Amino acid sequence: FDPSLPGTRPTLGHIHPITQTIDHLTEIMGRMGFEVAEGPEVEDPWHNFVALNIPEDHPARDPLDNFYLATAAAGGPDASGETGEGESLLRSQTSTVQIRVMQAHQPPIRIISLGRVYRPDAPDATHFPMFHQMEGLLVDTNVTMANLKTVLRVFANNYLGDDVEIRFRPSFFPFTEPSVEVDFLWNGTWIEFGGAGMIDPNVFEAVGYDPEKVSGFAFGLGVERLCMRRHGITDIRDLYSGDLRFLQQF
Amino acid sequence: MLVTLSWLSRYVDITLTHDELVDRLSLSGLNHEGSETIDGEVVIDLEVTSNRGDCLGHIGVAREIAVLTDQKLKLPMIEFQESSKNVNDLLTVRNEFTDAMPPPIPPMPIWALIGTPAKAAGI
Repeated sequence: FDPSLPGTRPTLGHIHPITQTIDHLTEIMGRMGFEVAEGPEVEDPWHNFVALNIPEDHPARDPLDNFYLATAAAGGPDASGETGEGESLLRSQTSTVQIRVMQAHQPPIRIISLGRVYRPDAPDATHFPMFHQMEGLLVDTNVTMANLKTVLRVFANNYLGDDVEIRFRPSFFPFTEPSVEVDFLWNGTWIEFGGAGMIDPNVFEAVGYDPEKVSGFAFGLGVERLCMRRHGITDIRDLYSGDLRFLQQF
Repeated sequence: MLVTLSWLSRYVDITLTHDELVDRLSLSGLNHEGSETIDGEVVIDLEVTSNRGDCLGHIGVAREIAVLTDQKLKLPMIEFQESSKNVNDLLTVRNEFTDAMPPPIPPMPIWALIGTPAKAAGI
């Protein structure tokens, strides 16, 4: 035993870049007063669609666009058997957490929720069946779209650095009215950030709030896109390959 | 929704360049997803959200462009000759799946459905 030899370096694990991004986003939003809320990844159609004002004939509910769970349909009473949906599915968006939080608490509400969502997409460089979203929700009296834009602009400035310009483009989501898509200006081109909007009164009614008394906004961003942009990752599949050569770089 | 400028120009005068046009359309709700050139024609891919079913056709997108650029929409005039044959001579239609259709409402005078103005006023 030669004590003058350099010691063996203990192998340390590395925090996954997605986890690092999630921690960073949580910290930025935390400074603005947003708490973290979590929800289950296995949801039922009420939380994932009905309460979010998504009608039965909306393409987002298509059995081909969601991971409905076969075991659930085999069991219990198949109340929604005609729609071809089962009793539960892997959630397709983190907006489900909005519903759960609003059912459990009274306004004012200021939360974010980061978590996994599932959509049947063939995996390629920019798509993967499982990915992460960050959901933000703010409900109070007299909340306006100006508040929404400010929160997003402050968030963008903190995350992307410099003075980032953001813009809203009109869009449509069944659970927000009006709905916008958010872009930020990067190197002279507008890059899509995510979607946002003021909460639709039907959603408030589904959770038992009075839409005449409260208003609120919500936004959703894709975490992978932010992570890949920050670290220069070009293929989303690298993030889920479990390849140590990739993970050890972070 | 895939549209081409040549088809759109049948219904509205296109006064903007391709880039200006897709910009204006994106900012009004029909997000520009990409453009391809096929056979010399520029094919524009627009994202049509489920609240804009009216834009699932060239006339709908042309109407949108007409509003954005302050042009007039030129709707095509459809002319056809009425045939002298009665359709009942050629085929009959029989509904064999009555479960899919609600029973027909017998013709009723409109006041039976919505009440007379006096009744509505509570007199």
